[in-house]
Amino acid sequence: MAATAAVLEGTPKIEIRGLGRSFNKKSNVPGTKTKEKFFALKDFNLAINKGEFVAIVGPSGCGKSTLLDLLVGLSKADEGQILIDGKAIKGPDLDRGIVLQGYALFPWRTVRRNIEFGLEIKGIPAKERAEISDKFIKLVDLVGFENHYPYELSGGMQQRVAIARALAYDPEVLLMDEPFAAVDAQTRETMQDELLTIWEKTGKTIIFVTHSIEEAVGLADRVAVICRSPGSVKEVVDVKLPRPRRIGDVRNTPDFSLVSHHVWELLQDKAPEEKTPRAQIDIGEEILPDTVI
Amino acid sequence: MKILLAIHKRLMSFYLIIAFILVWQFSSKFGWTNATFVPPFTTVLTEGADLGLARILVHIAISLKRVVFGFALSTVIALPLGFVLADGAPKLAAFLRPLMQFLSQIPPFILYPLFLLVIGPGENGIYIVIFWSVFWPVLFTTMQGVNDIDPRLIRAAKSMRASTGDVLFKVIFPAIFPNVMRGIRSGLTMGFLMLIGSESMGADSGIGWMIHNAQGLGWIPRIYLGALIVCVVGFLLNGALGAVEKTFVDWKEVPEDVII
Repeated sequence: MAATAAVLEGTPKIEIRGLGRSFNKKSNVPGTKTKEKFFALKDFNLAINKGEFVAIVGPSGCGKSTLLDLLVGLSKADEGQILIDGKAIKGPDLDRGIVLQGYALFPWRTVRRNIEFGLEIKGIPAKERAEISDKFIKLVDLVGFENHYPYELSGGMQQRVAIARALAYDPEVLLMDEPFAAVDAQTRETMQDELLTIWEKTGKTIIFVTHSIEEAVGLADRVAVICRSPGSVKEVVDVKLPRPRRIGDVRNTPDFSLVSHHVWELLQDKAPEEKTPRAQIDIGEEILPDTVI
Repeated sequence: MKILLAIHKRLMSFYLIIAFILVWQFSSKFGWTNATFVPPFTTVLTEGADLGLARILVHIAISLKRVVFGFALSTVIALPLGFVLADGAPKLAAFLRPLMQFLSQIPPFILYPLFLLVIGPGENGIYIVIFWSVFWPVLFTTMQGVNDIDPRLIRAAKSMRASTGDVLFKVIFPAIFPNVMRGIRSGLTMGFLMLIGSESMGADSGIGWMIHNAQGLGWIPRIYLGALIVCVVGFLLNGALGAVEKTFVDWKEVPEDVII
């Protein structure tokens, strides 16, 4: 557990402890009225440090969306809990920013007013809102587009608005749900590098859900591989690639290939091959709740 | 040259109307139609001048008053009802939908005798015909609007700790506005059409009555005058609502040819 202990100095920023979430599933047998319980997540454990970039990868249907809903606070867990700075989350709050799949921008609001949405909810006066949104419009490089509506922007630009909107109310944690799934390959790579720059500048803790191994390994400090039914952490893989990082620079390195291959094996539900030298790829071990406390 | 082109562009949608009026004007002169049944455009205009602008405006005002009241009453009920049904009771809405769609297909004139029994003759009958015609489009588009809301937008707002009120005023209302506006427009157009019909059944004033009265007297130019007034008023009414819509819904992609 040496590696794990090193990662977990002090109190983690986010701690997911024994999280379980079930849904009622109607029985397939006709005539019976019993409801089966289907666990989307069970015994899910993960600890994330302040300022860390953690990617979550898993096959579709592994409960990634369920996990994200719980992290945001839009639904309640049946078992376990999520702690942020040691306090259990009780619902949505502005300490977590979320970037949803497909941007989810308000089409009737301009770029600026989209970015200011969270600030309005927070009750920040208009003048101050304008100053803050100015700052984030600069950060995501959208100067000159403040008064455009989302339909007038390209996919990549809309994505940047969504990121700025999530950052504007200054959350400590940024939750991202496959944010780059809808943009084309070139734009995606630019966006990934921009996200890394933003992360380096702001020092936010990021949880990044994706189904792309390359994206997960390229961006994250650690990659949590989720297995299916019920969804739980199979393994947390340490990505020891140099920082500051550019996806294009690391993609063709042997280390990148090794880590990616290992994640791929985990997703294929194979045991890691014995011949792979474990020391070289530095696999973090699955974090058990008792090691966290 | 540039100015001429700009004028040409502006007039683009009116060319056909001008051509239509020209054909109308000269068709009897060339013997294509009978001047008695298709009086030339200028004869209809003279008829209007004989009747006097003041009297025409009084008829228009009376008709508009009816359509506006009937429309307002209908919208005040249909809009919140559609919203509550679609947002608060989707199961009840699904249960009621077939019946509502069935009812909406009934032309109000068929129900006119029934309306008379319920609320008595006179103005009220006109109001209820308009009420009926406006009610369904507004109800259906409002419900459609609520159903069309992108759930991700509500999720996004809620994740930013938006209260129920915030979600309602900052997400749901702006999101359904275009659909509601569309319903209001088609409701008003429908209401205005039905008004003309209902005025010929139980009124002693208004544009519809004017046409009906001219019909009874065989006063053909006045029938045409009435039809012309109906067209112009309906056109202006729809245009005014279109302008309102354009002002408030400027955040949607507009097809290229609409931008002049």
